[in-house]
Amino acid sequence: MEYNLMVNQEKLSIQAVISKGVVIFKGVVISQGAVISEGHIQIQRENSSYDAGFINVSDHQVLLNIDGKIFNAFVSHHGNTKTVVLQGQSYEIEDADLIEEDLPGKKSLLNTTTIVASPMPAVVIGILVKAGDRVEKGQGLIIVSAMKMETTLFAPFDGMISNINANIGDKVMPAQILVDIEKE
Amino acid sequence: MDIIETKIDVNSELYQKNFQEMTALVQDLEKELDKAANDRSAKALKRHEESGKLPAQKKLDLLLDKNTPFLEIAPLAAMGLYDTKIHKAGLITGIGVIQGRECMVSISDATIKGGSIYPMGVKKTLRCQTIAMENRLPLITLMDSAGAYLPLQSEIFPDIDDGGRIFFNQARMSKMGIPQIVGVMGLCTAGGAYGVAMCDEIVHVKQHGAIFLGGPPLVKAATGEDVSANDLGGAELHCRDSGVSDYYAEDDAHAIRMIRKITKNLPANKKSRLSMVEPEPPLYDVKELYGIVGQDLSRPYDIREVIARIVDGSRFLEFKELYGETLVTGWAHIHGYPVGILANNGILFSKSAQKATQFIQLCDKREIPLVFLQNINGFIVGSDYERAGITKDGHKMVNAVANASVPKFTLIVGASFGAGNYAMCGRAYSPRFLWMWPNAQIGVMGGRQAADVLISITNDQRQRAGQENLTPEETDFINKPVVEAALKEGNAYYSTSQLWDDGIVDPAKSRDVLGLAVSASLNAPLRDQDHGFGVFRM
Amino acid sequence: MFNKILIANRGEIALRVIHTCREMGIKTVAVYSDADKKAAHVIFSDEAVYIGPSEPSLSYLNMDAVIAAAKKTKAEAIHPGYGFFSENHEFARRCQDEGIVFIGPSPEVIKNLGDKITSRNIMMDGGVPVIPGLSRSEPDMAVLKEAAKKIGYPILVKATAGGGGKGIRIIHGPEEMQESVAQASREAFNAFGNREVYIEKFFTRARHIEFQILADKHGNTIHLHERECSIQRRHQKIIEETPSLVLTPELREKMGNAAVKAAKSSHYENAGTVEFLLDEGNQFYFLEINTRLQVEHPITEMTTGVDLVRHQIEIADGQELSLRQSDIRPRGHAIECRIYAEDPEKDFFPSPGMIQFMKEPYGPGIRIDSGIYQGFEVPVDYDPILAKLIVHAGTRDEAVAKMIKALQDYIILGVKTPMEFMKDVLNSKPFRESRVFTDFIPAHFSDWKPNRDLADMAMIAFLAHAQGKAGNKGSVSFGPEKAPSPWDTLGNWKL
Repeated sequence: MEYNLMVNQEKLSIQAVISKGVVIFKGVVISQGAVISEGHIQIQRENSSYDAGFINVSDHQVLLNIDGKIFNAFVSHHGNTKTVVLQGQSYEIEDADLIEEDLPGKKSLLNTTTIVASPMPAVVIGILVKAGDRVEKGQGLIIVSAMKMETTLFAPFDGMISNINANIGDKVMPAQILVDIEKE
Repeated sequence: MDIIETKIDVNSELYQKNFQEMTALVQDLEKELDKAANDRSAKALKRHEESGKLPAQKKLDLLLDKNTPFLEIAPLAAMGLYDTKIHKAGLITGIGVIQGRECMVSISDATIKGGSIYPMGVKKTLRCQTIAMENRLPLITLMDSAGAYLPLQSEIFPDIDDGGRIFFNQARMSKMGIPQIVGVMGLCTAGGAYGVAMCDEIVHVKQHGAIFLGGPPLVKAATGEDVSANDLGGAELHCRDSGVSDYYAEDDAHAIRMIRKITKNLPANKKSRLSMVEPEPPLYDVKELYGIVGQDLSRPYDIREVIARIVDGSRFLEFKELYGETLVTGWAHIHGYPVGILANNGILFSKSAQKATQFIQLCDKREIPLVFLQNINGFIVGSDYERAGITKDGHKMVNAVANASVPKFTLIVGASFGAGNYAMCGRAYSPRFLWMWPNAQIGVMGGRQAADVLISITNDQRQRAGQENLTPEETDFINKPVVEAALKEGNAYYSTSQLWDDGIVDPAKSRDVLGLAVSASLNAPLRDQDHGFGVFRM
Repeated sequence: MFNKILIANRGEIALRVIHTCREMGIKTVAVYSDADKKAAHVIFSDEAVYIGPSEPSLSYLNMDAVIAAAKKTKAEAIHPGYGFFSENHEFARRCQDEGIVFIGPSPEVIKNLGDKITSRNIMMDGGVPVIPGLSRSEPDMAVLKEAAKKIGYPILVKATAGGGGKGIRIIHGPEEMQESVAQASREAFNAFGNREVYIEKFFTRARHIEFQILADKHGNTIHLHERECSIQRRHQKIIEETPSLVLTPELREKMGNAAVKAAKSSHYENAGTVEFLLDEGNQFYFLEINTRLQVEHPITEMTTGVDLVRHQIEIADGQELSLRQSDIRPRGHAIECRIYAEDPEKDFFPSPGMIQFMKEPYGPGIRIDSGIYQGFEVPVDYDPILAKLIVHAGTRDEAVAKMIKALQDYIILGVKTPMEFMKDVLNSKPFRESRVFTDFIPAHFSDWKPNRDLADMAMIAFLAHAQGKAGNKGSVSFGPEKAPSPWDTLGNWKL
């Protein structure tokens, strides 16, 4: 299974096969605390591969036997991030896929409008720009009124107003282009 | 509860022989599972990935919480059927954990014949819905299917348990309040379109996903309109104009992230309460099961040795130990959950059937799930037994099994023949899940018995006609095909291919499978509201 | 002797004082704020009195509350620790007025020495060498610039009150004068309630050497040799050692005598520390006298075998000093590392949080003065010192090796600590060669990055940890069952 991990803000991908079961740690005595779980991990990353037995000695201590070498790792967690301390070195590790999941969803569709048009039959009651104006995306252009509600139409992208196709008091229809903007 | 004391000698010749045989069977199983998971045409896989789609397995990995189990359902469905390439009947299904919640998952695999739906695919989908309904699990579907495999449409379309049933079930599930969320990641044409639209929430992947009652070729033929799949039923159209789809996704991974968010947002369901104990592994190594149960079903063993390697701490409170000894009944815990176990230790007699009836009533009253360990050749036959009313007692047991409404789980660890299959909660008795060990056999009776019955009937006919009994050669001639057919069709792989079960399991994984399933079953109420039993013939 | 002492402090130093009190059969009273309800010093004291909200000025610096706590518990003396009231002459005066013994020098002495300008003048009068500078507070920018020109840049602008690195700025040229003075003044006001600042010469390559002194009410004053405290970050010491490798016996004697002279000139009593700057030409200058127990006092205790807190209490009780100068014969070498909750990668910015897990090193010659325990929430309201790790060995090399090993074995999870950084400092060539000046960290470690060659192993540990109960916590947490379901415990199980 592929894991994408953020290790100290650097994204690393590894292939890992994790299995549970008894592992033998020669010469290692676990003196205290119940063994919570034990198992085996095989890891492949770029050109390196490791074979590791592990024992979770406690909620915060993992004993690793990586290719015959013994490591004691200490782990704390805050939210999705874990701090792993290993031979005095400290690593902040996070599951990159989970981070991505927490990001706000892409608002792609909301930003795909390319024309300035009223959403329903309406009357133009205000024009906020004039031809030749430079506008920024999200800037108000025209105010229309329908069913006793005013709606402001905004610039869908940065650009220059090349033409305004409506006057105050005009009845306009959906899909009717009210303002032409040249994209910059 | 008392610890079951093992009497197994791991150094005995029989143990070693059994161990070798079962090890070979388990290796075969792993090979078949690997093949079903990975045997895909390189071309199809490449085309799939180049188009920007994710492989089905990758979708599953992204969909489930990391480091959580996946209880796959029927991974070997359709094995050996069609052109032997429709692995898993074309879709991955199973129970997994999404945002901490147990969900039923179904993912079509478009690298197998473009995700075409074969008859076994319909059967698997229906099974998947049954599991979701019985256990009240949210059903998450990731669709990418070319539609029904037309050459076999007659096996897919019309009958009560064919394609139409899928939409019928979806409507019923919607009424039951079981969340159905679908990711549209490929074509969903005609039936596929309904399958999607019947869901509660639809996440639609742009460009790849398309939903329409008639695809571009059909539209062209019918009206002459020339339109692309995307313009006919793409995400843009369905999210913005038609309102068929609810969420717009950039790609498969994005859609899966959204589905995870939607799942997270579902109201928590109240799981049923069982008084759990701290889970602990069995006292004995579960792998010893290999040495206890071999390939030859005629070799006897004490079923308590099996129970000892399935239940927590190998602890078992045996009920009516001295009465009806050919059926072992009693209480134990699996992964901390209390269960009542019924396990065959020989053929069923009147006393064992009565005992089973009493025990099932007890468990049903106490809301304790039932686990059936099947190794049964059937009920006892003979005039003495008939006179004693074996049929009456068999009826009681079948009545009790059929009506018990606590979750039932069946594991066939050996033989599953005749009425024994029914009485021990075979597929027709709606256990929540049913699995087989790789050594298991299933049928009306064993192959040899069937041949013996046939020969004896033939001899009877011959005698009536004044003819000689069959010669040994003739006997052999009748024997062989019957035994072979029984072996082939009674084989665990045949069963699992036909979806008579939910999968073949490595005996060493038995307790895990049961524990996961018990936990999943708790998403539904422990008993029906109208629980109770029929009239017992006394 | 006192029956009961109130400790007007918190954290590791409060615990340090409690230890000695216990040994002397004296009962202890802890005081605590809202943030410290579950602090270690509260847990280990005989009595504890709540004195107010977390904000220091409303609790640990609330004179009325602390005095009331002492009255209520009938404590006969107050030990101020370091920081807070330790150098506050008004508090010492208040104690005197209320009939409570303040364990430290008299209010007058604290007042005189706390004012850096007054103390400069006392030392100059007593013949103790002082740093070239302006011996008065000067608000006129023009006069300051003129004086600075005479002394020569760089110049240090310093608060006349307080210490602890607050209210200090280095000025490299006249153009920085105005802004730096304003900043230092503002900081000084916030920290000590006094805006006054003055200037003196700044030595870029100086060593910070301090002498521990003990003086009783009967005219006996001794010094307990030096401590070298040149490794500083943000003008605050983080690694200290004794003895200093640069002091010859002659220079040590000369400086020790000067320290005693400084103490006597100011009529000092109780434990104190005379700080000197030692320039590259082995000229030393009086910096200040800290009228309190220093953070780094344990290294002196390790080499001399003297319990300084015990002597503080005995002196405050009016007893004659039981030690003579000739009794002070330090042995071996001691080093202290201050373990703060701070991030060495982010300019030692404080890193508060909960101590999720803690494992302390142990063995011969290892001492830990700690104020934390597993599960303790390090408050954001106070100095983020967690503990001090002190080692003592026969030689400097042995002590350094012991410290490196001890730092490696010291596990504190939940907050960031500078232990990795300290290990690299101790391993560095300039430190090994004792080329240690107050600019050591900016000069050698300004762009320090931790060694990260075990990333692969760390990822393995991450995945392995996820297999345990703790790692899976929260994955299938709902449902009324008390025990975890197999969906929690089986990891990535497959059919």
